[in-house]
Amino acid sequence: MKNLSFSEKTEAQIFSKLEEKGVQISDELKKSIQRRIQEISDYVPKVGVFGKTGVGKSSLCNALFGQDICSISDVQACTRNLQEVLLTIGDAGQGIKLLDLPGVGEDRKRDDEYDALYKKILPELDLIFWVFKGDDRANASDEDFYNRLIRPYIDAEKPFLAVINQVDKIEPFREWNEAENAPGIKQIKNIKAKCSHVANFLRLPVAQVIPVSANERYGLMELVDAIVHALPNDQKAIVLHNIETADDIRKKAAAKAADAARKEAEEANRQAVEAHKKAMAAAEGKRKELEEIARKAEERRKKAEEVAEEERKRARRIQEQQVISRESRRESECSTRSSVWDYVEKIPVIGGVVRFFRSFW
Amino acid sequence: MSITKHIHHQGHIDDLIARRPALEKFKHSTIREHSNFKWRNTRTNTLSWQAVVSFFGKSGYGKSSTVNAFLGEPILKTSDVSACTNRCDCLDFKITDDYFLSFADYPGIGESEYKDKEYIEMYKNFLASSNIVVYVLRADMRDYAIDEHAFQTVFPRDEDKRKVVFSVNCCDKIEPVSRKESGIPSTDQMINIENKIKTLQGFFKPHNPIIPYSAQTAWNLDALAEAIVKVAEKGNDITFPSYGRI
Repeated sequence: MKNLSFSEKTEAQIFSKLEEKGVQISDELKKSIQRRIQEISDYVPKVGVFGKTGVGKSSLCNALFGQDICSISDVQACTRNLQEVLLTIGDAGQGIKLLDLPGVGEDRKRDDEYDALYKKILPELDLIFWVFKGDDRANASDEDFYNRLIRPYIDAEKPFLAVINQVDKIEPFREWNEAENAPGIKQIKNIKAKCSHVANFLRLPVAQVIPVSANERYGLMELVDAIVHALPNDQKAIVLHNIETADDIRKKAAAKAADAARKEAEEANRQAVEAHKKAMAAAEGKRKELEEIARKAEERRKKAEEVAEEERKRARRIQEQQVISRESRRESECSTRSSVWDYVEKIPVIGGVVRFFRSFW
Repeated sequence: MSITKHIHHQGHIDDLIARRPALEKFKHSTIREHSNFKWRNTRTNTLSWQAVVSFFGKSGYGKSSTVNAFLGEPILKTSDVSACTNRCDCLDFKITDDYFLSFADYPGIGESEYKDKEYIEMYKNFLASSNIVVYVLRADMRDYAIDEHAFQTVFPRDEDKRKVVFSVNCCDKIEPVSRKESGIPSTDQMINIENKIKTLQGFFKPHNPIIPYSAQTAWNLDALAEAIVKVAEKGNDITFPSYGRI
């Protein structure tokens, strides 16, 4: 039962500190948080607070803690190293641990350093916060870090909350109702729009986007409620080894660019080859055409020759026929002569002599 | 290459001077006849010379609000939450029949890396035809990584950097914020504003003084107008009449 009593004490501290600061907490919310925290009292959840510089990560940690523990500045970036805040300190020195991280987007050199730090710290966390500033929409730095480092962990089911801080500064910021510590009517509309914009930007359900104001201590209990409900019952270790550093990304980008250039060159080359082939094909076509013409001419010539040959043959045939007829005449003459001798041969004795002489002839 | 501005308002320089007396000097100025400053109105098909004041900066930093604040009328659309500028939008003020002063508002960078490349390229294209560039920063923000990159990329040469006035908007929103509409920053805010300017001096090392102002409350907007005139005077493209003592 020691754990249980510790849990109660933890909550008591969160509630009392915030109530001291004038935050009104409904009983319903208190009960909801109490019930939940009893379920997860087996470990000290670590919550990493990420975001761009100047969005109020440290202020948020201080507001949740109930007193200034993280150094903050109105002008300069002041969180250079990791700051740890134990949200509520129980007897065993336990509670929810907030890790206040240095913010990105200040300048490029620091971003590279923080990149390495984030990469190191991410596997240890049980819950990730990404803090936005309500009246800022220049989120290219957030986008880069989120997509590269955080998103893979969300996809691996690490609990994540997007926190929109400084919603009291959302225009029209003078409409903030200070008496009731609540946004004005137009502000409520703009806060809603901002939440859905951020949800869309992060590709997350809008329920995971929580609007707060650390300075005005607005929405803090809702945030605590969201934290305890987002945390898993049992600590889950999610370690991703394939998270890339900025350097890797740059190298990859360079490699990609080189690859693209190479592909482009290849493509150009291919096109050149194709064009050459086309030219060749065209030349070939032309050549074939010419050949065809030549062939046809040849054919015509052959035909003409054939015709000529035919003519010649016909002429020869006529000539031959004349020769044949002459020869046949002569032959017929010959045959008349031989038939006389044939007749003579038939005469007895003389015919034998004639036959004898004819055989020599 | 050809570039296009969309004119949202055409007024007379006197309307502007009535609100910002510092800009009166433009009334008697002349512009160098260079093709960079020559524009053709495609609707009326007329040519004119334009002295262009360009407003560059991150999305949501109040470029459109600043342009609107100069005239005091909400001509350019602004949004409290999401970005709305996607091209160069202008307010033109007639000085002579063929010479205008033009306030040009551009899409803001820093929303996504993909768009930034496109927009930074656009800034570069417009730079040659801009006589003055107002680079808008914000008093209540301190993420300069993107601005640092943009500043070095868009203005690589020293002579380009001379055209730039860094201005710090939203001074009414620097801590400690007061919700009373006083129009003037409190003493504590002034200290923070001074610190902010010092930080920015160190960071960007600008050629011209950094001007803190607020488009919302119009605080110190005259100082910004004066700074614009000073940059124009330092440059070679716009000539202002000089008065000597007789």
